[in-house]
Amino acid sequence: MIKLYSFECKKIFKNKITWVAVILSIIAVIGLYYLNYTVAENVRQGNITLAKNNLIAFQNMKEELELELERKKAEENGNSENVQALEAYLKQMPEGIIKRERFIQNYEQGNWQEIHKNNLAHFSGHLNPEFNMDLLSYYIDEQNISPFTIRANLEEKEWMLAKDIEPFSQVTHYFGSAYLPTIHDQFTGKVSERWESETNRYGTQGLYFIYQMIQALYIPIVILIGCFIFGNNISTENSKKKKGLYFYFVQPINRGKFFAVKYFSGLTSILGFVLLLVLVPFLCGFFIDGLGSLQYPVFVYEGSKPSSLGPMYNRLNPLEDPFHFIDLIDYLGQAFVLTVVLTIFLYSFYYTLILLVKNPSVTMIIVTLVTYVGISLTPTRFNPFTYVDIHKVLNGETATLAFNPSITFLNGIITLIFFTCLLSAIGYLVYNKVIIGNRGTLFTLKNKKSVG
Amino acid sequence: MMKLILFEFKKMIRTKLVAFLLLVTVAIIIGLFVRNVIQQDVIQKEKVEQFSEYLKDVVRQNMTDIKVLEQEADSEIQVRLDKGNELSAELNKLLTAIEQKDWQQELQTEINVYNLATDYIQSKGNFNVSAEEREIRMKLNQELLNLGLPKENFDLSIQTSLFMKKIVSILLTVGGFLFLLLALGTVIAKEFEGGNIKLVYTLPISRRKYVIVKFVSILAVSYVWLLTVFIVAYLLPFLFGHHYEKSFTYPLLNEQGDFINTSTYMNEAIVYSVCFVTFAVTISVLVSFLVRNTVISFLLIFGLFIGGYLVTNQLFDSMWIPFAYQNVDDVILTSLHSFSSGISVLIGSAILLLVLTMEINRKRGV
Repeated sequence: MIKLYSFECKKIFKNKITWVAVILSIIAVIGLYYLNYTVAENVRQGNITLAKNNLIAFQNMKEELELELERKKAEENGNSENVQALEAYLKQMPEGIIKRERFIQNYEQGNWQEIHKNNLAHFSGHLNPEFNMDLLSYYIDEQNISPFTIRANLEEKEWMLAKDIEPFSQVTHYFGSAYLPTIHDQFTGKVSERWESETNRYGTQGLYFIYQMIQALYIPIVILIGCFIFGNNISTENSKKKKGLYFYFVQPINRGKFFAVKYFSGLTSILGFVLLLVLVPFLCGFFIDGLGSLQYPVFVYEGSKPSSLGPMYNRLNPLEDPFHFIDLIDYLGQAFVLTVVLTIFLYSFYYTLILLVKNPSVTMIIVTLVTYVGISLTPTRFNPFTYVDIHKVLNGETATLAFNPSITFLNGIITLIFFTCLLSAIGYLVYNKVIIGNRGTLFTLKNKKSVG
Repeated sequence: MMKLILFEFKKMIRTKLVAFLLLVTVAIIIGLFVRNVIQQDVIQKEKVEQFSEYLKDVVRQNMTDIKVLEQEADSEIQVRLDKGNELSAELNKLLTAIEQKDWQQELQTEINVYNLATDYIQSKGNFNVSAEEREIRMKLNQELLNLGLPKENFDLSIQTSLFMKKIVSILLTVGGFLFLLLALGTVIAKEFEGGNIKLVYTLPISRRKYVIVKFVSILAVSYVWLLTVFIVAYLLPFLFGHHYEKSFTYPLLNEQGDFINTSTYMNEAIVYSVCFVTFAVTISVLVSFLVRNTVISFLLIFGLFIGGYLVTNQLFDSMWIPFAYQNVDDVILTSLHSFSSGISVLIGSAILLLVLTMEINRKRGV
C-alpha cells in the first residue's frame, strides 16, 4: 500500500500541469502581496500628505487670526470679550502646530509608541470610566460610533502601547485614531462607506499579511482551488476517453486500498498546496517588510447576553458586552489547526461529489455554491460550513451575532472531523456502487460472454 | 461558416453542462425571490425598529433636559426640549403611518422628521443620521411622492424593476461571470485535452474561422444565459410579486446625486452585461487556445478576473481597464466613467483579444 501511495504521489508531482498550476498560484499570491503593499504604501503616504496639508491649513488659519486680532484690537482698543477670546485661542495654537509637526515626524520615522500615545489620548481624554455616557460622544459625520467600538479601541491602543507594537497601515489622522471596527457599528449610507474605507487595515509584514488574508477568506478560496487541481484523481481516470482505472482493476490490488491510496495521495497534495500557499504570503511579507509582532492584539468577542423574552428579542449590548484580546501568534496557531481540518473536510466533500458528477467544473460550481449557501445560512454548531470563515469563528463574531456560544474553535474541529468521516464513508460507498459497481458488471458480463 | 456555428452552438446547448448552468441560475433567482417573499414582514419590522431607535434617543434626551430645567432655567436647553418634543411627536406619527402601511403619509412624515431633526441638531440635540444622509433620504422621498410610488427596500423588494436590479447586483458581478466562465470557458481546453482538436484540424476549415466559430458559439450560449437571467428575474415578480404600471420609473440615486429611473438602469445593465460577457468570453477563448488545459485555463481566468477586480478597486480605477466594468450595478450607479466610454473599451478590447487569439492559433501546431 505504501508503494502504491508513493507511486500515486510521484504521478501527481511528475505531472507538468500540477507544477504549472502551483507556480501560477504562487505568482498570483506574490502579485496579491505586491498589490497590498502598494495600497498600504499609498495609505501611509496619504496619511502624511493629509497631515502636512492640515498643518499648512492650521498655520494659515493662525496667520489669519493674528491679522483679525490686530484689526479687532485697533477697532475695539483690546477691551472686548471677542479680543480676549481670540487671544486665548491664539495662545493655544502654537501647541497645536507642534503636535501636528510631531505627528508627521513620528509617522515618517515609524515612532509608533508616540502615535499610540496620541491615539490613546484621543479616546481616554474624554472618557470617565464611571460614566458610560461619555462613550457616546464619538461621531463620524453626525453618526455615533458605538460605545462598544470605543471600548475596544481604547483597550487595543493600551495593548499596543504597552507592548510597543507596530500597527497595520490604515487611514490615521493626528487628531483622530486608526479605528478598529466592530459588529456593533450601525452606520448608514455614505458614512458606512467612509467608515469602511477608513477602517481597512493593510499588513505588509509576514504575520500581518497572513492575518489580513485570513480575514478576506483567502484560505477557503485556496482550498477550493486546491480541490480543483488535486481532487480529480479518480474521476480523470474514469472519463469516457481515459480508462486508467481498468489498468488498476486488472492488477492484484485491493479496491478498498486503492480508493484509500487515491484519496490520501490527493489529500496529501492538497494539504501541501494549502500550506505552501499560506507560507508564500508569509515569506513575501517577511522578506520585504519583516515578521511583524507576534503579540499583535487580535480582538475577540465574548458574546452577548440572550434576552429572557426569547431569541426574537436578542440584542447586542454595546455598553456591557464583554471582549478581550489575544496574541496574534495564538490566533495563527488556532487558524492553522482549523485550516488543516477545513482542508480535509472540503476535500472530502469535493472528492465524494466528483465521484458522482465526474465533471470537475460542475463539481467546483456545486461545492462553491453549497459552501456559499452554507456560510449564508444561520450559523449553528452542527453546520460544518459555519466554520469556513475561520476568522469569524476564532474572533467569536459568528457566535456573538448568532447568540450561540457553542460555535467555538473546539466544536468546529469536532463538527468538521465528524462530517469529514461521514463524507469519506459516503465517498467510499459511491466508489463501490458507481465506479466499481459499473466495472464489476462490465467484467462479469464480458466474462460470461467469453465463457458462453 | 454559419452552418458550423450552428452546429457548435447546438453541440454546446445540448450538453448537460449548459443545462446544469441554466438550472442553477434559475434556482438561484427563484431562491432569492422566495427569500424576499418570506421576508416581506421583516421590512416593516426593520423600519419600526430603526425609527423607534431614533425616538428612544430623542425621548432620553428630552427626559434629561426636563430634569435639568427643573433644577435651573436655561433658554438653550428649553429650545432643545421644545424641538425634541416636536421631533418625538413627528416620529410617533411616522411609526403609526408605518404600522398602518399608509405609504404616502409615511413618506411625507419622514421628510418632516428629517426637517425637524435638522433644527434639533442645530439646538445641540443628537440625531443619529448625518446631514448628507438626511438630504438624500428627503430627496428620494420627495421624488417618490411626485411619482406616486411607495418606498421599497432595495434588498428585499419583490417589485419587478427592483428585484431585477437585485439580481443584476448579485449575478452580473465578478462571481457571476466567473461562474459562467467556469462552466463554458473550459470547453475549448477540453477539446485539446481530449484530442478532438486533431480531428477538427483535419477538416477543410481555416484555424481563424475555427476560432471565430468557437467564440461565436460560446458567446451565443452566454447570451442565452444572460437572457435567462433577465427573463426569470422579470417574470417572477411580474407574476407573483408587486408589478404596477410605473414599476420601471422607480428613482435610483447615482454617485453624482442625480436620479435615474429603473428603466434607464435596466437598459444600461443589459448593454453593459452583453458587452462584458463578450469581453469575458474573448478572454476565456484566448486563454483556452493559449494554454490548452482545463485546470490552468481556469486558474488563469480566475486570476485575471480577481486580479482585475482588486486592481481597479484598490489601486486605480481607470476607464481604460475593461475589468473596471465587471460589477454592472456599481458601474451604472457609482462609477464616474461614461456609458459610451465603457461600451467602447469593452468592445474594443474584445475585438483586439479575438484578433490576438486568431493570430496565436494560426501559428501554433496542434
